[in-house]
Amino acid sequence: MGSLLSLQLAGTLIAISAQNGSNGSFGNLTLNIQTFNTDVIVVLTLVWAFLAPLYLTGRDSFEADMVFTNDRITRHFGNIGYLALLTFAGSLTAVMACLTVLLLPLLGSRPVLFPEFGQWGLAGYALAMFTVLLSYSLLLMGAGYLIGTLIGLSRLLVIGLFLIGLVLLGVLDDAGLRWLGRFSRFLFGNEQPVILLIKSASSSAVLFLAAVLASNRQEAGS
Amino acid sequence: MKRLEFDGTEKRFLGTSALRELTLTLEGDKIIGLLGRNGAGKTTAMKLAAGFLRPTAGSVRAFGEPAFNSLFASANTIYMSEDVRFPYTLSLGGILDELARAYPNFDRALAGRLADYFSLPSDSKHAALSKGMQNTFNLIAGLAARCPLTLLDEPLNGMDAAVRKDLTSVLLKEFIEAPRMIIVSGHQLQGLEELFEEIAILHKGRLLRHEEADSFKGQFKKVSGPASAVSAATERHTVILRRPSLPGMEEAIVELGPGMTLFAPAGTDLAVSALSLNDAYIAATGGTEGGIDRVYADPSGENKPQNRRHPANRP
Repeated sequence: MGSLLSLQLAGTLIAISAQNGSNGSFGNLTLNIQTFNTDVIVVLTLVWAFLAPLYLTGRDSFEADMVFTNDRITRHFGNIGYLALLTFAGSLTAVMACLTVLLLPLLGSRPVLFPEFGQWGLAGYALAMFTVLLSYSLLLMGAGYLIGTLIGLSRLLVIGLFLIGLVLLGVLDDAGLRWLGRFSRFLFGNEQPVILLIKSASSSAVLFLAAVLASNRQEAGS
Repeated sequence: MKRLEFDGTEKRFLGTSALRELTLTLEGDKIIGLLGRNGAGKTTAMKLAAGFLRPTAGSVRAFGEPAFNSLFASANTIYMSEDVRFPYTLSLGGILDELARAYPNFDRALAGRLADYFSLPSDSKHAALSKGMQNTFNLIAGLAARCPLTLLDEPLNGMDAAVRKDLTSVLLKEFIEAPRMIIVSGHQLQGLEELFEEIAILHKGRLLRHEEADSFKGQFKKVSGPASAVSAATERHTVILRRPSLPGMEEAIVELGPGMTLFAPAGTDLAVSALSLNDAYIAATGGTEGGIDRVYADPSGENKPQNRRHPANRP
């Protein structure tokens, strides 16, 4: 969690320092327009969501876990629960960091006019952002967990699977890419953030399950 | 309930057999020596018992359950070796705290006192310690866990003589304080051999012997004296090792058959002595007539020193 908060803090500082400003005068009214881009916070959070499970499923981590009381399934459930909790907390802190950047002008002495946030206001905007970020984080976390687990089993296996995937796409030609596009639209083409969350959580559950099944016979110290 | 049971166990790594047809049952609260030369399969057997490895054939059961992937067996077993890894983010104190959370019988206070005694700072990282200190910490952690099945793989490697002596005492005191099955593997037994009640010897991946330590040790004798007297005294016994000592003198290590004894006849200048467990197991696992002297004897004569080109003689 410390690493995530450090990344988000760095992202916040980058977002604040990279703001753009422009001035405009309309009679007696002077408008100072400040544009903040908080994408960097979101991107760093997503990168962390992918990398954290790679560390947690690595060979060193597995060997260290084996010193303590556990079996493979218990270890996986512990890891997945821990990661899910971190993702939830990390998405929350990311949204808070984005809002902090957005609300920063309030600290000044001049009156601030906020942009429109839709019918649900700032709270609705924050909730939607949290839901979307949580969805993508869960998905990346599941992918990272599966890839990390497979790397722990055999690097050659991962390279082999990657090559098989490329060959399949090549063999299937346009059909393969169309299938990928359809799958992406199904996953990401949603009007409602909550639908995205349900689909992402289900997909990451499948990825986690694949990791559990793949490594349930993993040996330590071999 | 049998504490640990290997039944026709085989373990292969990339086609190479590390353990073959191992059938061995261990029961009761005792300190057991798992002995063998390098590559005999000791570590593989220990890791199979700890549930780290999955047998290629046969089975390994701990507490009546398959040792591999059993939460019950894991909760009652601890395995410590010099290559065991701890989370590198934790300090030594943190590792002991986590072990205390994982193992219900873990004596955290004792572990802390022992760590202090052996000058292991609780805020140090395990990876920052020397090899000997890492092993000292591992042994403290392994013993303080007080698991019914405690597996210690080469526990005294890399330690200086004083620490070895102290830790041998710790091992004995811990066993008396909390009796359990402690299996100690190794090939450097000095200091430990008196603690073993039972031994199992592995040789080239197979079980060579499994018996009481004293009984095993008593089967081997060292006979030394005039060569003719040694030959006469040992002719009815299995001679494992025979080598000249002084001119006209010889010493031999013999293995006595069941019910046989060996005495030094009066007036023959023959000395018969018992072997230490260490020497006995070395004799049982690899003593060859002539020993290392045969390598240097070079009966072919092709590599006599005068025939060699010494670097200093090169033009």
